[in-house]
Amino acid sequence: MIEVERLSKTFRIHKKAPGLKASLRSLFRREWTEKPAVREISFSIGEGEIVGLVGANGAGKTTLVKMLSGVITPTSGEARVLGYRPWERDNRLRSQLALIMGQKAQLWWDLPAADGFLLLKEIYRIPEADYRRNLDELSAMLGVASLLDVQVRRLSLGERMKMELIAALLHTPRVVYLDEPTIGLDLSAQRAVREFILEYRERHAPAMIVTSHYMDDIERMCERIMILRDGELVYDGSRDRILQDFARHKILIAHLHNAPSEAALEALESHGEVLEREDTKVRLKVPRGGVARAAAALLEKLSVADLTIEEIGVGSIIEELQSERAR
Amino acid sequence: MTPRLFLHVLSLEARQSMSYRVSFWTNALSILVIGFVIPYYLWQSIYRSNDQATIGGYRFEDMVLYTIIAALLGRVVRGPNLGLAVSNEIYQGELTKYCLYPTHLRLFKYAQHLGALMPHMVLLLLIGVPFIAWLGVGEHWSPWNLAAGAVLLALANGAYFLIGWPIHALAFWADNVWSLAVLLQLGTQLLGGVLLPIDLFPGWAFDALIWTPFPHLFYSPTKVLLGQATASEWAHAALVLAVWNVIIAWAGAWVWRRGEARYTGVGI
Repeated sequence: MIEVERLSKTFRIHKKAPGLKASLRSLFRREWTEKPAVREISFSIGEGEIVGLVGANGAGKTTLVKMLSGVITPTSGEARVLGYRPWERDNRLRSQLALIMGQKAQLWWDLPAADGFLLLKEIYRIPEADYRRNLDELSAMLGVASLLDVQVRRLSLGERMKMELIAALLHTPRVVYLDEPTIGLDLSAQRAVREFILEYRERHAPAMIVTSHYMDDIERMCERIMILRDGELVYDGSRDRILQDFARHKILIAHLHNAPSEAALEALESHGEVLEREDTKVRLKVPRGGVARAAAALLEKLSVADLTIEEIGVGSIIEELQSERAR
Repeated sequence: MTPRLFLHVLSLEARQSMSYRVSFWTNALSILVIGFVIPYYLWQSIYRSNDQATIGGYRFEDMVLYTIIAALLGRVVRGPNLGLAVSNEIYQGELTKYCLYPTHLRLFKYAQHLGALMPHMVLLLLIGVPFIAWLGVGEHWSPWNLAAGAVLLALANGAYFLIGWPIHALAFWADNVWSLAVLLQLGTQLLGGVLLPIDLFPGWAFDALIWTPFPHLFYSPTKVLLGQATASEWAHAALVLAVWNVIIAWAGAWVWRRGEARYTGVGI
């Protein structure tokens, strides 16, 4: 459904030094700099897949989504969504796409959401019966059926996001991009939105790309993860494979009968990195292959009351991969 | 874009524009003060200081009448003006949602433009028509005047929207084109005859201007509705507007096509 081949986008940005003098100079002469936002990315996404697109701020996630939804034009490379180049803005493609932007509203601020939905019904030429059925289904799933007649500006942030989701999905798109769909929402609203997206996927099987800074969103919704760093795709694979490929360490947590001596801790450091030491607790990060030896050393050198071995979470690995530390 | 969608967008925008009572009645007050009271006293002082019965063939009563009718029609032609400026949407990234709709963007925006015009039309009916009746202009009206005037107004409204389109599209390159939009507003008001009738301009300027769309935005519809234009003058105005509309529409689409490839959709 989505095929991307060596897609790149470089922005030309006006550079301006601070201060009045620089402002005056920029009236006559401007300096420009080129900022590559996305660099030669290739991937494909099939029907019913939810892909989590993660990366630090400025990694190129939103730029990639904007290119794939046809909002902006790439500098080079190729992309086909349902067989169309998105930036050519063919109505046959646009009628099957949805972009949900957590930071931008598409509904009319001063009017009830129901008015905006009726307009979308006309824009997407949704037959009356389908419109009624979709609206009933989506508003019931999100629990906002009683709020459809309330002015959008009077809704809470979470309620507005739910209305935005309905607005974007009324026409049952085959490709859905969700850009930070849970940004600013409280925990229960985040959970509701996540559950809704998963349920929607079960019912309609669209191809979905989700960008989010909340690792919970990614871990709970996406079986496949793509990690961007400085515009480059540094990981594209299953959520579970991340653990196998990148979880090179495990965490040993030892609860002790009494505080450890400095000498004992120094001895442990030959097995791994001491992440945390409290009065009677030690957390040790050790290579996967050295877990048994490290556990034996712990039991030998310290008075251990309880020992736990934990996997590093997917979220931590992703954070590590998207940061400079992973280089 | 289907006619049904066009009407739906128009209706939605009209409802949105009339959501706020204070804004609606403040607008009404501004029509009264800026459109009627200020021109009346301004021209009164000009005529008194000149100590002449006519200026350029206009008696004081004629001038006041022209100015008031031109100001009223000006609101219909200009519509919401800068309020819905597409350039702002380009600058702030608000255009993104329209890029996603499977519909013709310029027609969509024109439907919004007409919808936002509705409060002005309501005010025109509530304030303008009784005022015009009180001034006695209605005596000049015939079905021909009204129909001919309505045709010119429709063409002029379209022309004003189309002239603004490529100027707002320059925001793809320049980001902020607010000053150009203001210049457009002032320029069209001066050359279009809102500030004063263009037959007061030197003859050569008048002869040149009538081949441009500007005088037919405000001056010609006013003259037609006042019963002061001949059928051939009306036909000339309508033809010039129609031809210019086609040219400007084409130029606007050309500029837009080049500009939208530069859109960055900031803010998301």
